[in-house]
Amino acid sequence: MAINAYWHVKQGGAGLKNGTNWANAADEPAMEIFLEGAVVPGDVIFVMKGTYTLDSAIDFSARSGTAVSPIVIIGVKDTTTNVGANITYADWSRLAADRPFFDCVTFNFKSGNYFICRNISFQGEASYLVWSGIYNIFENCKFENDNGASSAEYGLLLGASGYVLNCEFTSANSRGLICGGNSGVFFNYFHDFPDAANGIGIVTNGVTISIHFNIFDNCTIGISSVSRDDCDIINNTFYETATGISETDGERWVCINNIMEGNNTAGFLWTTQTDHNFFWKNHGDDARCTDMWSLVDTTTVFQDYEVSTGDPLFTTPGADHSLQAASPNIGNGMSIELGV
Amino acid sequence: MNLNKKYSYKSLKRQSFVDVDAREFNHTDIVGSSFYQNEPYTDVFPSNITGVTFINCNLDNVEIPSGATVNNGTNKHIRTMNDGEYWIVGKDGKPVEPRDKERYVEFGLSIDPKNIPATPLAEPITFTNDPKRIEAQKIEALKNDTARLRQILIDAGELEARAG
Repeated sequence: MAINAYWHVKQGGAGLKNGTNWANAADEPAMEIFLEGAVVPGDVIFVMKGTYTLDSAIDFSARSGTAVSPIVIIGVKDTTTNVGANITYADWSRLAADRPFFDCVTFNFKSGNYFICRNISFQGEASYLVWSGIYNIFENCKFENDNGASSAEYGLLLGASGYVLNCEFTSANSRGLICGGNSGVFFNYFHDFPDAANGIGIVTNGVTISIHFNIFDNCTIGISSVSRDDCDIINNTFYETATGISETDGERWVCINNIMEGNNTAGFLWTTQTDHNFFWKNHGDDARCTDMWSLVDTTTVFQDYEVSTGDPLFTTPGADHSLQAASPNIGNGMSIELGV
Repeated sequence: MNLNKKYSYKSLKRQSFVDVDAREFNHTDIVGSSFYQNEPYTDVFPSNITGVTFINCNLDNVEIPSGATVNNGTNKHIRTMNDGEYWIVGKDGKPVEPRDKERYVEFGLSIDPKNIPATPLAEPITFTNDPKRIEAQKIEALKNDTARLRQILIDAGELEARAG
């Protein structure tokens, strides 16, 4: 990755507020001016733990990075004293309590293409709270659309060919992630989306989306999709989501090693029976998920011949979804390696 | 600056401090906080506060007492309309103009409140009409239209053959 320059942002700013170091750190208004008018490929912006209230949108969608020199924002701890290239991984806000908090209120945070964002918590009620360009990566971030009135808003609109890794999504009344085609959604935690109409963890907004190793806990729908083809859903846990996966007539889906538990409407739901999907070594049954295979083919060669059933034996259901030693899922799934 | 540490750099949206002792606010600067309310013209602070300066705060939908001043930040009164966007509203609750007027103008959308749809749109109007999104949808549609794609490639080949 080719670095152009380092920038420093802290709550309230300091000194000249020109971002050159912590003694002259920019504040939120200066960061917005920089992102919208001056940031160039290869710039790395370190944001120190603190609260950053938006009084207008931060929209740098017209300023993109490149494949070899993305624009990068990294949250760091408020104990960080290192500067620029000397900032180390130990300075990063890896824990939720150390992340900078962007209170977006009613405004969008809009990025351009080739943007990487690490260790930031976003909260607000704008439609598509964080709105990304293409080839974006979000890692160890939190997204909460806290729209005061129930409506179909999202925490993150991920543009095509983006990745969301190790992030947290939640909302009392809105939705989590809407992701573009060819994107990857790995190792994330989607929890507490209780709204009956809008409580959805992921909505697909394109085809060939990979959703692997995520946990969906207490969502009205874990993954909602309308006529999207070629998605692969692998090694996810759906716990007490009313419906785990809802599709209409999408084809060529690959669903392997997913655990459905405590879903009170359905596990896999296709509103139109569509035979050209592949299910293998998933876990769940009607006794525990009401309707494990709702309108999903259960009669031809496409059915899941290796499905396992019964209590998956989570360590602490609803809190710790690792598996107890006696779980029927241990040693029973298909061996999967991530090709990323 | 006499920074009010208790109320600065905090997310205090949808909260009311009307019943708090005014002395907690008087003659201080409140910086970088959000006091946003869901409903326009909401009283949030005691009416008798004095000498208070709000700096770079989000005070949208907050009624500012006469003893306070606003320095930068935002203090608009807004409500989501049927086009899915925030509009600045008057005290009568009627829309005056879009909060993000520049985006409407850029996308060629009407900023006249008379043209707000009578029923709610499925998605925000500036999202639907975003030129970048429309372009992306066209590319996506083309990628999925193998017959048209094939014809384009054939045509391109013919052009190359003619040029060669």
